[in-house]
Amino acid sequence: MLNESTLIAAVQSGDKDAFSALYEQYVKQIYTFIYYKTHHKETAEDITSLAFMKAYNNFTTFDPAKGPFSAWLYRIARNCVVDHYRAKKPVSMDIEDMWDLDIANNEDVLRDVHNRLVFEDVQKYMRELSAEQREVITMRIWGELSFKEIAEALGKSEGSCKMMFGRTIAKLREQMPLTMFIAFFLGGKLF
Amino acid sequence: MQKNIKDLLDELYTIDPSLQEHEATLIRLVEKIIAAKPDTRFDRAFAEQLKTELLAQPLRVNDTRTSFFTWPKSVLAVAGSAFAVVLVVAVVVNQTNPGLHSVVTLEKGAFGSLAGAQTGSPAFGQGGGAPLGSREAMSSMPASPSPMNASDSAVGATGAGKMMIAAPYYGYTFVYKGDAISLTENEVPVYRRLKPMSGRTDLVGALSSVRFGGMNIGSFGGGLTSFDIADDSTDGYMINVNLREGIVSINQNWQTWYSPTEQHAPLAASDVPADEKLLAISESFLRDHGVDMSGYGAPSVEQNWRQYGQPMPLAETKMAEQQIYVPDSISVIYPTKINDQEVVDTGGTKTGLRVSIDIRKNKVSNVWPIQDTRYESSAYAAETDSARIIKLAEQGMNYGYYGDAKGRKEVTFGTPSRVLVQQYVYNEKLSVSTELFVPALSFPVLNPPNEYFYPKTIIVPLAKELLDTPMYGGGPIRTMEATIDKPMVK
Repeated sequence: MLNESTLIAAVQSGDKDAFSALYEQYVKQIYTFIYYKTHHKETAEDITSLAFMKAYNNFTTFDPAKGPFSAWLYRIARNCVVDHYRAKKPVSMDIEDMWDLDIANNEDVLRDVHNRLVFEDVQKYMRELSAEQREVITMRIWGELSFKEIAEALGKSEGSCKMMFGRTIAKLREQMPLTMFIAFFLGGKLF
Repeated sequence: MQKNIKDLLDELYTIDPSLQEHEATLIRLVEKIIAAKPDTRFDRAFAEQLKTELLAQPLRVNDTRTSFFTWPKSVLAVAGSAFAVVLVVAVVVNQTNPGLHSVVTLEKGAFGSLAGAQTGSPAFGQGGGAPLGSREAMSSMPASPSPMNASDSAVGATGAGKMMIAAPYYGYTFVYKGDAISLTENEVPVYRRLKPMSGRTDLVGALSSVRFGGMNIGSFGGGLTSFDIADDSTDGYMINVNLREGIVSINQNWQTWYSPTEQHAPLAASDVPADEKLLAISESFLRDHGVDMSGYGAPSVEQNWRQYGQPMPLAETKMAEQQIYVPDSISVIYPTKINDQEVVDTGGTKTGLRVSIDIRKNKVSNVWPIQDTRYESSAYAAETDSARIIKLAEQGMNYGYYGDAKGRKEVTFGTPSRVLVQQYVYNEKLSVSTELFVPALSFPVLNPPNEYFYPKTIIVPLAKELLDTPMYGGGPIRTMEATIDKPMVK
């Protein structure tokens, strides 16, 4: 199995087999990342397709010196989700992800029965966070990215991402009941 | 305790050490949460289909060589006043690379179906014509053929079985008189020119501080796709750069070449310089402006005007004798070469870089299209039935007309050579026409029946999918019986 940097170089030289190998490494991760932002299978598939199409067509623009490939890919996926929700709502509404939507009326979220109760309660706390705070939390907890990868994806320093995560978690811990907090914190990491 | 649960709890304790007191509860909670893990419904079939769709597209590669279309690393903005911000774009030409001609091989069938193929250019029906909608098309249109000659435009590429009023053509019977043909390849490489990436938005951002007509042009998205450079000195040029297509065209800046009121006496054949001189003018211009010629074959001077301009015999037309028409410019053609094969249009005319020379000034007046000669190739199934190829050639391809056998003339053609034929394949879903270069056999016409017979060769593509389309397999255009034997002009 070739290492990632070798695969990336091969893709940038036109090796489609190398892209296929990278794709297999990341497709489920990216889909899952997008799914937890949309909680709708078909939407997640559409956005995943769009994200990988963008990555494929712009692969030559990836510069390994500027950060890890995973961060570049997650950034594309994240932007595709943002574009998706912004296109669905008026410009005046700041929609970054499904947390900005009314989950109580969101059948897709409610279809995830196991998380229904958690989401309905967690939603009110998540909405009080800024989009940036939500971003760091969900990417760390749900996406399981390292702080370095999160920093690359958001264009921030690693230190500021760690600080933001710690402060946001502490804030949520103060506001949420213990059970809910643990379910939220661990639920994302376990999934 | 599982390692992952322990790691998770450790991270939680880092955030809130007091939670350690509740470890037993936490472990039960974690186990419940694991049991309640939601199903993201990741569909393996979806992933496979997406992978297939992605890999069907060509994969752009890093090309460290700079080319005629290497985007500049910096944009210079000179501000004179609030309304006088000037954007200067420098196009970098790498003088150290000896050539930019290359071919990248993609997987089989990478260009999609060839079923939407059309003969000639999608807009003009003439091989080697300009892309649809481009201004270059108007400046580089060849002289219209005499109605006594067959041409792509007359055929019209309208599909098999349709009836249409024909120009005054005679019926021709094509007969193969060459050697036996052996077709041993199961696949042939089809080529497509590599175009530069589009969608560059750098300049739109830089233009955001400029107000054109009171409007903030930077308020729009998108990128620059083309621009013009005008030289207003005497006999200057207008240069158009089409970034999306990767094509540069050079035209006379009309206002600086001739006065609008200037009258010119008609040119005579004796005014046309010898071919050697025309070639020298062309070569000198290309060399002085650093045009990379590695993707082209040996040049030749276009002679069509000699045929088009011939007067019609009085006995047939009963019109006054026509003057021989000499065009204002004569073109030198540098045929495109891909992997040592020259490109022709469906009529068999070499196509590639065209350098037009103004006869009155003996100066280059137009050059089109200047472009990178980098290509992608993809294998397609080849026709291996030589009898079918010969049968198609004997139908005359673009030049066969059925009708009353009376008055039909026999045209013999000989052993073919291998060429690449320029084809345009239309994708209805994307509303895009793609230029492809398809291996073909070029059968030379051995005995033109008269001096007005235009075609020098008969071209038959070797890609099987093309031959199976109605365009080729359905036969040539059928003509109305009444006009087949007599010219329309009385």
